Amino acid sequence: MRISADRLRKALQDSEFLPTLSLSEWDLVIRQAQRAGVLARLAIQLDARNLLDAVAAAPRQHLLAERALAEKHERDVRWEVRCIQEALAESGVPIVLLKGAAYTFAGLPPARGRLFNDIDILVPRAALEVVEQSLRRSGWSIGDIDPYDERYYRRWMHQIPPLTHWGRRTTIDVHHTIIPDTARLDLRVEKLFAAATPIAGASGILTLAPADMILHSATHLLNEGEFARGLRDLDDIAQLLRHFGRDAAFWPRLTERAGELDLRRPLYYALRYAAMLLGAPVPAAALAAGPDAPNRLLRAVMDTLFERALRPDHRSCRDGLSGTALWLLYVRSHYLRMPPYLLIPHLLRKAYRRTITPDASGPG
Amino acid sequence: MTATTTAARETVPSAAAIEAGDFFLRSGPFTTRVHTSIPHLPDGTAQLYEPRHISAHRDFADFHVTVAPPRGVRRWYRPQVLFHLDGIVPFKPLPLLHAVPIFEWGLNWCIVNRANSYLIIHAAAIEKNGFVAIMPGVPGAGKSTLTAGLVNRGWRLLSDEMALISLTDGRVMPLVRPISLKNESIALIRDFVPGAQFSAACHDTIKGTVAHLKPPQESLNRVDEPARPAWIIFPHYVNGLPATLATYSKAASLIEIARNAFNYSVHGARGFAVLADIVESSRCYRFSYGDLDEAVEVFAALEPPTRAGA
Amino acid sequence: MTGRWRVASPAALSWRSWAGEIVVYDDGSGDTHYLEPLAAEVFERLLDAPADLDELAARVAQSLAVDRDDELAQAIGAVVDKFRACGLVARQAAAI
Repeated sequence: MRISADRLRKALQDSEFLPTLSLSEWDLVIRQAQRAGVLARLAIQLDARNLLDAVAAAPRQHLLAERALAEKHERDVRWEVRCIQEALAESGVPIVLLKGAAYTFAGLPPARGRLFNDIDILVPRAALEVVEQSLRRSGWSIGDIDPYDERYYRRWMHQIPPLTHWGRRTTIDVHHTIIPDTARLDLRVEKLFAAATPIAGASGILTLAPADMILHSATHLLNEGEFARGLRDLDDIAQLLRHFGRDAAFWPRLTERAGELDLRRPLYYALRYAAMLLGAPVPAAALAAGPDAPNRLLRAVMDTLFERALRPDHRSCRDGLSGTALWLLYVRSHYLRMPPYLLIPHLLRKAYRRTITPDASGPG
Repeated sequence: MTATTTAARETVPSAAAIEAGDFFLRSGPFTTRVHTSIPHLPDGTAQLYEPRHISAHRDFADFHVTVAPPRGVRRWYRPQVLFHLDGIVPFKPLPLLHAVPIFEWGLNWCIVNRANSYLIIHAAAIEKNGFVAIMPGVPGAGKSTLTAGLVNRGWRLLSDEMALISLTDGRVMPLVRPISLKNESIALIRDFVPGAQFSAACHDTIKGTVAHLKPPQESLNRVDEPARPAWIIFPHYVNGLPATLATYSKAASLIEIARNAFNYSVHGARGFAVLADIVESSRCYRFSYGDLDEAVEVFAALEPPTRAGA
Repeated sequence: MTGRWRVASPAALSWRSWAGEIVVYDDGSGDTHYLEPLAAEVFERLLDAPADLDELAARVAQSLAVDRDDELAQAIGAVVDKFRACGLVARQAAAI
């Protein structure tokens, strides 16, 4: 199964060889890329190199379809952020864009060929109520939600439950920090705001500083136990590292900042897997196992688990250990987030809910 | 002699593949890999599609579909069937007997959700003398019945449900899938087209009684021939109404055809330009009818737009 | 409805015109709008140059060769309000 994921991972680093694939090779790559949420990314990369026409007609249709979707998503995100700006303009609250929306407005590589779901923003905790009210006044609302889930969102997930706009059916996730407040990893969110960079030509909205952007992405990927878009998220990190890492001074800054925010462990894994699986050019010094790094045994275990979790979510990439790996990482993410006396009931409740709801999942 | 032998050799592997429930189906520009353990599905499919379009193997498939019973008790008790697209399950399970409609609806879903290299209109598309009539239609407009009638009276079927428009030149690409008919339409078309080949009717579906009609042989033969739009006709069936063709404003036609496009919003300015060009060079009408024979006459008299513009 | 009005983002718009009616696509919002003849006329006059409601009424009356009366003014006001609501027009910022 390793071989199956390798071709796609290689393509994400350099798509040049893709036009040489046979039809049956394309058949598999397209399906894996589709499930991983990176097909549009391949399309844009091939397009940028003028290689789309060199791809065989049948697979090319899928790439063209994804390119059209990615262009639509970009239009939508820009409009949506404009609407959010308008809704929050009066409140004067600074809005920090996170993840995809941030990449788009800052013109960063992971924005290209991206399909967005929700928009994530970070606002000061003190401003949460004002923000929620302003958004509600402009047409967003929480909608039907289980009270347990709502409490969970507010208490443990460091955000207001997702708000959906009645007309556009778009969703905003409003965060006030990036790690829940009960976490073992303590985070000072004021530092993130202090370092945040304004976006040229767009008042009131900012993005995280480059190192913080990578640290956020790393923490989200390595600690939150959700890997449906794992390969895509890892590729985001790899692309950001390639982009910001051209400046040699960036790497020590990144390591230092990780120390400051107490995010050394997720950064360690992010750098390790971005380099190992996606060829990110991480300098040896940054990769080196410092005093905070996991010991060799733990590292080996994590490698086994994460390598599986970071494969495309397609049956061609699953092996006997994949299910277990995902479950263990899921449990780990909650262990990092909740004290044990709350963790067990939570996991039991989630397991119960999964068995009573029919498994008719929608598109990824 | 050689040709017949080759053909015979090709159909044998297909027949085996169909029986094994593991085959490749070509419909228009799409190839679907079908994997199913349900016996009446491959048989039903073989009846409705062109034998040449079914094969044991293709190197590339656009959609990898599995139609199979769900896990658990509904495998045996009041048995059900689920449609999977490569790990995604878009619909709730349906009764096992409805496997053929669920496959057809599932394939519609695949095309509408994935085939975004085309502009896809919720419309029928039929062709005569190199000119295509696009008939956008909301459910109940009688578009399928009208289409089934017309393609058996001199028109070629490109699609009964989804008009695929090329974004490069605005031509309509043939899809030529079985025509889905409901309730009274089934009997009506059986009368209208003696010898018509239908799938077994499925009763008590969400759409009522449903059956699928195999497209005419010539339409199947010409699946590789796209053609240019010349008419946009919004059909409306009302029992007892005489057939009336009324010119419809181009601006209103553009808005309405855009509303009927599944993925108009995906294509943005490009989609607008392609549709606007089609409207510009087509004659646009509203069409109400109550009798299929009258409708056929009206369509037979349609004049394509002159070169100077419609 | 006071102040001068302008087409909000002309670069984002594509439109076609047939027999006095216009269909406009707005690439910002992704919306497509149908403009009946009066709305089409108001749209085209604002494309010429920004205007307040008075000027607009004058231009439209002249272009359509109709009387410039209260009914026309009211109808134009309603059109501009609809345009504002869907983002096609915006107030022109006053010069400082």
